[in-house]
Amino acid sequence: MRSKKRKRAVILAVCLIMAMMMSACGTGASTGSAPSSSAGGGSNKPIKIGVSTEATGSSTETSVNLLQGAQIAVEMINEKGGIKGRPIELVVRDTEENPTRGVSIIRDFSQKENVIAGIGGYLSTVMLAQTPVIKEEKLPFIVATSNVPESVKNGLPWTFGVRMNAEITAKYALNFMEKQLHASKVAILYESGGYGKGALAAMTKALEEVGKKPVAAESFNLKDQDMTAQVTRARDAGADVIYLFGIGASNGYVLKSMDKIGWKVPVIGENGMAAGGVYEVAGALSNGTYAIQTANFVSEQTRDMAKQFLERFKKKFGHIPTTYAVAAQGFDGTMLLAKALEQIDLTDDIKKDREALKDALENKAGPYQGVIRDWDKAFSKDNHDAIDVNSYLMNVWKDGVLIRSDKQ
Amino acid sequence: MATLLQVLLSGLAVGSLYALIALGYSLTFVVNGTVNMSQGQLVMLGGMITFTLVQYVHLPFAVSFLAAGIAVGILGILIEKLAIRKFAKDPTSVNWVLSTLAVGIIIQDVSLTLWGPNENVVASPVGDGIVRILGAGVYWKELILIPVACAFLLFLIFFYFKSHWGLWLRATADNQIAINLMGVNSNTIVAIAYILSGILAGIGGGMMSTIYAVSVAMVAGLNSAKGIVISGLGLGIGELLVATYVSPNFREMIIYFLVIVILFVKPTGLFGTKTVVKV
Amino acid sequence: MEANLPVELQNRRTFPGKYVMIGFICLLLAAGPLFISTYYVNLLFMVGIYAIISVGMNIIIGYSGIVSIGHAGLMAVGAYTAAFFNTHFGTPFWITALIGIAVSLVIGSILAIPTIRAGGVYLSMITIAFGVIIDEILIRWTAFSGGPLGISGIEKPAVGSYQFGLTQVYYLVLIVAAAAMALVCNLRNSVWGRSMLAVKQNVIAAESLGVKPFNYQYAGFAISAVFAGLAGAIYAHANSFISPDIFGFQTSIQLVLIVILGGAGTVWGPVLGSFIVVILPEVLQFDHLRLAVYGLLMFLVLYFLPKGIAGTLADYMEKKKAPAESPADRHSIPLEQLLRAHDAAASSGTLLSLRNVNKQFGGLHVIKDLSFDVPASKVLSLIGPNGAGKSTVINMISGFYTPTSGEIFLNGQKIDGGSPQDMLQKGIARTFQHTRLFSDLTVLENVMAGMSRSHKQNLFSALFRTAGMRKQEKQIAAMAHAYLDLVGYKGPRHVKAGNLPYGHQRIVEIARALATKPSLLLLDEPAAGLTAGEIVELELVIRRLKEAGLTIILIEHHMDFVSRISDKVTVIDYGRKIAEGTADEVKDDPNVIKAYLGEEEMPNAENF
Repeated sequence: MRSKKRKRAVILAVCLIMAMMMSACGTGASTGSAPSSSAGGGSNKPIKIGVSTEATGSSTETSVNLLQGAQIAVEMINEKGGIKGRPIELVVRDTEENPTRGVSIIRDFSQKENVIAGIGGYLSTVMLAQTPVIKEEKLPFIVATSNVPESVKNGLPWTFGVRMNAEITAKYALNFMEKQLHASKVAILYESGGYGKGALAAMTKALEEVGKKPVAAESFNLKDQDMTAQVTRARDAGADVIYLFGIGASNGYVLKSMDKIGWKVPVIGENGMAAGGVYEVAGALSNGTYAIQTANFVSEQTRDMAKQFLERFKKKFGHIPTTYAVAAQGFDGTMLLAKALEQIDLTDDIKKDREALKDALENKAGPYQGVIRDWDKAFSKDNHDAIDVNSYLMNVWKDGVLIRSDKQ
Repeated sequence: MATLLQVLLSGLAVGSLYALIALGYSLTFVVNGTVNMSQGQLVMLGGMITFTLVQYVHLPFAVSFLAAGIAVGILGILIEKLAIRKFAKDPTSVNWVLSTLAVGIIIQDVSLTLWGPNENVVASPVGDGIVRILGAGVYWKELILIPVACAFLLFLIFFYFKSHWGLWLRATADNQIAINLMGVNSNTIVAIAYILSGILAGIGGGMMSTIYAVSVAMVAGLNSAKGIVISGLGLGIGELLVATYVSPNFREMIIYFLVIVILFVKPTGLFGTKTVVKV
Repeated sequence: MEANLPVELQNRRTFPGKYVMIGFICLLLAAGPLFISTYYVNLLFMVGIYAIISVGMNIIIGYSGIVSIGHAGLMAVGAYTAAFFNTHFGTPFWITALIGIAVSLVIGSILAIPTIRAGGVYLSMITIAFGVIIDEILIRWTAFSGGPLGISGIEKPAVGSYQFGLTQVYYLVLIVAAAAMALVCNLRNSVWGRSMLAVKQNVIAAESLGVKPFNYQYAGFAISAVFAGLAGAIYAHANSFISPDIFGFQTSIQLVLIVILGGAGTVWGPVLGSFIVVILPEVLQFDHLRLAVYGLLMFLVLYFLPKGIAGTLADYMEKKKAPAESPADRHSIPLEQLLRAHDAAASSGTLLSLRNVNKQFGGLHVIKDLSFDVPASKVLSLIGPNGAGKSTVINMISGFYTPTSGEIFLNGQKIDGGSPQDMLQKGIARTFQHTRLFSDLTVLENVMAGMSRSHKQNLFSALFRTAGMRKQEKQIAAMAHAYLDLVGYKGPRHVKAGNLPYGHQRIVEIARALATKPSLLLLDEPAAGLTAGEIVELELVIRRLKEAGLTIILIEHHMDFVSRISDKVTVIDYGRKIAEGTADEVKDDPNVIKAYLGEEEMPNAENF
């Protein structure tokens, strides 16, 4: 009968596909990587660095900056001859915003692709899942966005942060609020996920350290479009400044809800406030709101490395980075890796090489004039966070463009 | 006082939307025993097509909206034909839930690839103005929703109970074989139900995920139009009341909690009725 | 696949081929970690985790037809309970796993009640709602769950001071998965498995056999909750970190996809499905449209391979080589053991009587003031034109409908209003106008299903296949063979009942009804679709049963058959009794002729 024949054909096809998949597994033949057993030794064999990124899912628009920053760095390094004559090759994997996938990716990097180091960590939950495995696999890893303190702490000594540690950011913001805005009654409006909750914890801690408390702490969902209830409560609590940690469009809707109840106070955010969607949703309401970043690519660049970076970025991608900090951190993180790589001798033993790289990062990551700042030594044994309270840049929205703020 | 009024107005606006969208879902369920779980993604697709036509082809809003509606409508019929019809025959199987969910995943991912992940906002034809009533602020477009929703509801009631298309719809819901024997193509009727359902969801502008809307319809009773309207309005206001006066955290959880509790006590929903099965 | 066959057949599988293959696979899996990197061991570990959960979900989806799209929530319950106790109290894995299982079992049991009661798409929506609620609770109840950033630092399982590494955890998962598969296999070949499948395939027929659907669906749900919770606890301890986004809607969909892709109701389906779903993202490394490929895969499987890979293969293999029939299984069992014991006193007089019974469906008055008696140990035929209400009468006697008014007495006891299960307990069994066999169970299993109520097995003995339970299974199988012999069934017994020709199905249905040892047997058009020769056989069987003391009510249209076999005939038309007596008396009754042929025609008795 025909349906029997068709069914048999389908089963055969499925079995064939599975067989192909199994063979693909075995040889490690997947796009973007060449099968090899070690990244060390050999004069022109590429040095592999793994990039763990969120290519699918809702955060793609912002997270892609990390990869793009790394790609620019690799381009620059390879043009100058690579590391001791060996080019750098990026092995890119998509976490699908799934922590379980993230774990598998680290093992993939370490065991199958044999990279010497990795960079990534946009999504905090994925990063937190990856840190124990990074530690177990002994893989040097640059955490380039996740702002949760534990993202670096849990993987010590193998994880290194080139990111805005939420606690440091909160201290900077508090300082700014006090000195520049003369505001002290802080309302924390945060999205209910990891990003927002992390900010809530960090700002609450920062306030506690100066003997204060937030006057209101209201959460909302990223998909919400009406936050009237939350802003009403914040207003009624007497807030005179808002620490806003939604992402993109949701922040825009918060601004609109404030407008609805006729309330206007200064608003300070971070990556979420610098992301696309804020202006698209809130329009003119976004004027005058602040976003803390580590770089700004609209204004005239004062730093030499930043100039080069921006030029290459525009040339390669046709526009400036959509989220400044993430791109800058991806770039500087990769450059710091390269700096450390230059100072070790690579052997055939990938495990020894990773160990050596870890030590180099800890002790000799620098000197490097980066996009974000100049570093003599980016890290030390006690401090695995390269960005401190002096590396920040306050930006402000004006007519749909995020420019550097006059107040810092 | 202003806050309460705000809540009531916003709640009514949102609630009438809930009612409309949920009604759309109940339509297909009554006719066919199925629901298109990818409806939410279809609505999103419609929005993206509208946006592209307005932004890049520079067509006026109304034309873009219509064109998008037609495109999505065709897609909806295709889905009904491929993903639902085969599975709807067996009343005990819920394979159509899975197949439409799968279709939804495909649509979402393809859209992501085509348009990128950015959120795009289409300028509303009535602008972004706010009207203040006794100190409460409501967007014009929210306010317009209430009479628009009422108009559609009236149209639906007329269509369903007074027109002969509606008669055929109800007959198909009762006995598909019989209506085919009478010379009316039941597949066409089902397709119409799906188109209507899609239109209603489109008006909602993707305000609710499909799961949310189906939950509302189920709590109300999938085959009771009156019940759905009441429940939708009630939920819209109730949600905002809880959000404003209790805690905004639990707004979304309410309906899912209600689904479990109410269906436990009354498996056909608050206003739904049970049909007798012949042994 | 093989393990779907009933007990006696498993024992005579072709040895050694199958065992060698299984042994080889086991060896590979066990030795694997020695040869492959942690990357692959980790993948296999994840396959095992998913396999454990989906083996449980296979019970509810495959055997009970309950499609739960919220089982990731139950996995989360187990994972978070274990993580909480470990990070707050330092409780070791072995204890946290038990606590995790207990909590998942409790929550799963609570969820099971509205879920099962609702049925159909409502059921799936409830499970989705459950998943969403769990997700929200995990995000907001920070004190317990650590909020959206989850719980870090969960300790790995340890024995004494020896901490488990990835390899050891993988072995743990392998053993648990294998045990789970074995338990489910055992379940399948027991009263529980047959009853679950019976309920899924034909709930009305199952109820007519005394099966209470809820109990079996509930048990299946509970077992699946245990497996999900256990897998969650193992996952938490193995990975040291859990967060709410690991257990979201997408994971629940993946689990359903695993079961369907592998093959719902098969033994190897869950493993196969887990394998594909875990390995696929590792292999498909292209940047775009990966989720779309998953969606497409799911859609294609639903459309073309609704039985999944293992299921389609199993069907194919069954068609190729029908399992051997071995007459050696059949012991001869004396008639008295097969039928209900009756005393001579009760075999005179009236067994069943209807008094002024009315039945209305809304405005439709189907049965009007009907009264008649059924003499014990005799055959009464209920005849009448189409639409007269004959099946409705049978439905009321068997408990599927309740009379609107009037009473039904069995042996003087009022029985109207009872449920089908109640009626079965009182000794009333029936067949159906449109045959309701369980199409995916074998012929033998269908008849065995008739003994579900009389040969109860507790869940524990079914899962672990105790000696007592095995003995019981042998006994049930032997009796099933005897019932098939009794009704003169000569066809194959180990093929799926759905594949039988129509006439054979009807006879098997009678055997199944007899297996419940009724005192009153209701046959709804038993001769329909039978050849002349088969009808003769049927007559013989009915006579034998009557002689053994069984009372039989027959609905029939074959008038010569009715004439030959009936002791009494009752005629109804438009719900009213219009004639009663012997077949000859009734044949000549002018009211009866009018009812069948209309007033104008001249009656010709031979043309009935």
